[in-house]
Amino acid sequence: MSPEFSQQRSDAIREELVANVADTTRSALEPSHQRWLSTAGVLAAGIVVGSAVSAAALSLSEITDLRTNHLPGSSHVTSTGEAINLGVVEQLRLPLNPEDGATHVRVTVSCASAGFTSWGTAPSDSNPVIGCSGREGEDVAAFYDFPLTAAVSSTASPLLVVEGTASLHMTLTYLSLAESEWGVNDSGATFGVTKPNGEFPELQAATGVDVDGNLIGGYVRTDDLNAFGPEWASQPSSPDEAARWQEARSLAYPDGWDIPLYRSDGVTQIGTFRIQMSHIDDSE
Amino acid sequence: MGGTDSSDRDAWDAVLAGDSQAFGTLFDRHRDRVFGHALRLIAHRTDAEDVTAMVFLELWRRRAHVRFVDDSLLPWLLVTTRNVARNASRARRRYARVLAKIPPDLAEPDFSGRESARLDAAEQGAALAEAIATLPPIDQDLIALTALEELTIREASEAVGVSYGAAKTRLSRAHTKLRNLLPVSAASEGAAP
Repeated sequence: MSPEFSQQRSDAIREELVANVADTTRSALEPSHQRWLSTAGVLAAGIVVGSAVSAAALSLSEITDLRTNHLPGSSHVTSTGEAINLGVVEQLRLPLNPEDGATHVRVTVSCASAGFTSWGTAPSDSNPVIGCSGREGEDVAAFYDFPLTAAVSSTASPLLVVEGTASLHMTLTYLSLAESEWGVNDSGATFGVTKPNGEFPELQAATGVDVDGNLIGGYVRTDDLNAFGPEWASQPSSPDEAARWQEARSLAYPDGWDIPLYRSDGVTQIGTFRIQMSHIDDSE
Repeated sequence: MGGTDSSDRDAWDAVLAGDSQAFGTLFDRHRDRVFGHALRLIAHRTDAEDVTAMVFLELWRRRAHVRFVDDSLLPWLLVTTRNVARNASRARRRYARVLAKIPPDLAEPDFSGRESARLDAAEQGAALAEAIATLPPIDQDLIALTALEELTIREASEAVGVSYGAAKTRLSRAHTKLRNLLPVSAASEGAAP
């Protein structure tokens, strides 16, 4: 029989959780307390779902930076339709009518009022969420390219859903995106981003830091990403060995470790990339 | 997911609209599953209770990045449980103020057969847990969600944030590795659905 949750502690935890939410909500509504989401955070929420970059420990700004580059294996726009202005939207369930040849719909949003709102065409409420402060000049626009495939929606037409407390300015643009091939360097190694089907190259695109601590784009070896740790060339061969290695790794690297960041040649190191063992970060 | 999970979205919308009591509803609904998942990782009741508390604190802190799978928050909560359990010490520092308000566990040690049986089962699962620990973090999450929490591969892929194809590939490789690491009896516990 499994241990049961102590009811006394459960009641205390529940009370603190509710109070924590109430305190935050109260503070957020007061003009002197403004801690809202960045556009990078909005893009990251959409990008992480089915992302072409599977490397861990990317910060929100790093993911945004990658999105602006045409990396081998990534998709790029081959044609675009005219922008369709939806005006100010609060709640919406809109069947889309894609143009012939369109593979994606780009949904661009900006804040019209304060609150939190999810927006997009993902089928399982996995859409990005935008947080709006309501203060002029503090909020920025965001966009995401949603694929127009049969997997997006079970209905005949893709459905654009907007739900939340913030009203948004919205535009739609139908696009055609083409997937590029991975590059191959002089050593014969593939480089680029992970494809939507899960395949990944030998050198994966990532954003790390240079010797001065500045963000820089480059590539990390897939083998380095999947390594047990910086001092272990192989994987443990038995549970006992794994337990010993894991304890040693936790003591030596409690906050993760760095791996080399290279140019696409896989030889020229230009910086480092941080591997963390948790999604918990220290930034608010 | 169960029938009660179908209204996670309604409760979450209420929370975002300022209804803090709706957050308590979500805790009531998913507490036991989160706690059970934490116990598999920590095997200590009080620590697992603390991890459960921290998971729901993370749910609020990361509210802009919460992900629903078929209208349920549970997969996201389970993935977060693993992350919190891995870095419990760091999470404790972050939430020290809240945890200090929770009464300590003053229950007498349980020397009954129930506790002994639980410890025996824990030992049997230790080999599997150790082998799983050798996998990359994303693979650990996928294994836990499919083999232990009985989510489908699609649900697990959405919870973790990788494509369905990537999840299938990772799980196949992970299962192969686990079979090579473990005796036959332990390996069968982690078989994919």
